[in-house]
Amino acid sequence: MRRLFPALSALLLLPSSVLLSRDYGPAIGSKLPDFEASDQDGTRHTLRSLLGPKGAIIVFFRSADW
Amino acid sequence: MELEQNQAELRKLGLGVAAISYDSAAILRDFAARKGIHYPLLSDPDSKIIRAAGILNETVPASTPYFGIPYPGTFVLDAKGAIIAKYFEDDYKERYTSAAILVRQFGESPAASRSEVAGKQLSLVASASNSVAHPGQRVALVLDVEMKPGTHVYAPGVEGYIPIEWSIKNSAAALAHEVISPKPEILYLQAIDEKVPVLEQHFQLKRDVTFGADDKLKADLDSSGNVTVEGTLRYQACDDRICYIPQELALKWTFHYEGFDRERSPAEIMHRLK
Repeated sequence: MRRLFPALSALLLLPSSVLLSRDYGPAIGSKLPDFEASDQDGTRHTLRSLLGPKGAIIVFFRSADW
Repeated sequence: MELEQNQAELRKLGLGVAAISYDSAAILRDFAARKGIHYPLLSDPDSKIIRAAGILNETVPASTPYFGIPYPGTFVLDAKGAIIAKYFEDDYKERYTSAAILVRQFGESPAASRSEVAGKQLSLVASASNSVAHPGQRVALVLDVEMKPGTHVYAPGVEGYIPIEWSIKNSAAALAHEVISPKPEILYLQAIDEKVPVLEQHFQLKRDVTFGADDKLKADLDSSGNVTVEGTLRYQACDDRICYIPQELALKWTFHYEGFDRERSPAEIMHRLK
């Protein structure tokens, strides 16, 4: 995974208390909205198709480019 | 990439693995080929999925090529797709490693940076979720403690006794987070009619450590070019008759330093100003 370039750091000068108290995404116990997308090989996946017998790990990352 | 190293382990646990970004399929294909990635990297170029998940970073101006990125993090889902855990950064400079998630979420005993320490009345194995120190990564440290039969130590925070205490020498290279300890047993001391929380037999203490910025890591390397994290474990063990002399054990975790990845996609597919 990549790191934000220094130019971007100016955009994130929020007080640390704002960042620390933030809750990201849907509440625990609820579901991520269903989706459909292609991967790097052109294979289409839905949220359902990604789930294994015990569930799944879904990672959201900033960019593979920068 | 760190997730690539752990995805086989995650699959063995019955978990699907996927990563999502706002990159084009072309960028993801190039990235997967360069890095040897073997799990799905899903392309969400209009950030529809990112938006629907409620994690679009709206502080980024729409005029820059960076608009559309999420607050980075990980959702752990159960077999029905319900969210059972979320790992998002306290701060944009910090990222959980998937290995640290394996340790915290699934109770895996880590394999990296293992050392065995024998003390009086206890022995332990110190280990870490990752063997590599990468700037900004948050890794898990574990102490697997085995008490001598019949002995116990006092749970963290107990008063009137010397509790088991795990301290880490903080530095700009590595910042330790709070210790996670198991639910203690309540011991009834008949002679003095007291109930005391104790840990006995086999238990695990865990805590995360976040590595600092690249320049801080580089400034702190030892003679072998490694990052070391040092700490101590202080405790007083007792059995049902006596309490032993308090002990202090030296602890050390060693990580291989790995700097930044500044490589970009080929010019024709990289993100540009809109």
